[in-house]
Amino acid sequence: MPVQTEFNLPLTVIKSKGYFIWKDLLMNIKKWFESEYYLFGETKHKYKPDEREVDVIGDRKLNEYVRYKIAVGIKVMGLKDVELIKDGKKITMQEGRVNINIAGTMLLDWQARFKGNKFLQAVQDFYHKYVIKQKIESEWLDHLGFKIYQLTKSINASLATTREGD
Amino acid sequence: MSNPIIKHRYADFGKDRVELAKYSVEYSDVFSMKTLYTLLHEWLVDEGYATRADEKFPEISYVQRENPALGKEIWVRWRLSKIPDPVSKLWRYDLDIDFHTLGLKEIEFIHKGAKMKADNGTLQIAVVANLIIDYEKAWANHPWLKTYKNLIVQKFLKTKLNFHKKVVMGDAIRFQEAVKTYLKIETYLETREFEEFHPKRPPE
Repeated sequence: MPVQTEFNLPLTVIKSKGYFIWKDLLMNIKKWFESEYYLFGETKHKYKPDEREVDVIGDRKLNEYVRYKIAVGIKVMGLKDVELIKDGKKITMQEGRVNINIAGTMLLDWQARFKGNKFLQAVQDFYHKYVIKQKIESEWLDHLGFKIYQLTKSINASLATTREGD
Repeated sequence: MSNPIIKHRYADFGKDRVELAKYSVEYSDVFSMKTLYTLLHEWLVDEGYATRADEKFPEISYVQRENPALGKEIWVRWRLSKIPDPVSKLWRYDLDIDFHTLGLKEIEFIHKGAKMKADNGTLQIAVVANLIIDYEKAWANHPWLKTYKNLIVQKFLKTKLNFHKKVVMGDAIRFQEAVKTYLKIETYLETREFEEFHPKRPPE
């Protein structure tokens, strides 16, 4: 049986209906990825007059063995520009239904050093099960989960949908 | 006579092909296909991916189907390459660009008192950017360089490899920004491609 080198975290879903600034939402996600040293890339951008669909991905090599990937899928429906008065100033915002999915993946042995033969696979199996088991379960996966929580908070702030207690 | 073998042009490269960017931009609204096509051609010529000689431009396919009820469907394939250092014959930047339009219909509108023409329909531009190492297989066919090629590239030329990776990735991102600037879609870079000089999609 092949050694597990890919660990997926549960999907985080944000749903919101209200006012937001579309450009700021995208820029905040980009800034968050860059501030956390992730390589940021947009893999899909779909534009319709009242609909947007954007997929972005952040990729970070944590060390020589561990790599994080965070994929964010944003879908906005019923999008329209609205003019609001905020602090006495007229501002243009967008209104619509936003659905954001955040998927986190941890990749081990991203340099494929243990790939090649059965002996190396057996060594890797031993390494995962007895040497770095604690690190995988309680350090790296927790760390990635916490980072996704932080990203979720940052997105919620952009959407102004903070919950009580945040 | 043996049957011809059909294979992907990257099939022989294996790890010598590094895929650095893959994305698509989809757009459904009013735009000018002709202007966009010309602008992107200009951008690629400016960046050294093609020359001004149109007969040498690597447009390997252009398919257009017309239907009076459904509009035009166009498939365009550009396979562009740039060799940054012709002396070493080691690095090549490849940009694979596919255009696909659906339901493209010509429309007329009044802009600042003048009648103008544009297209209405769905456009998809898909891009894949690759860095090709040892593109002429000069090292792979050399008696002793073939043994040490990976070691040399991954260890001794690591800085150069990373530099070329960044350039290819940067070119792909700037091409994406150029497309999005013309279509007036939200971009990420601080300085936009085509910001001042080039036209944007109508209507203003």
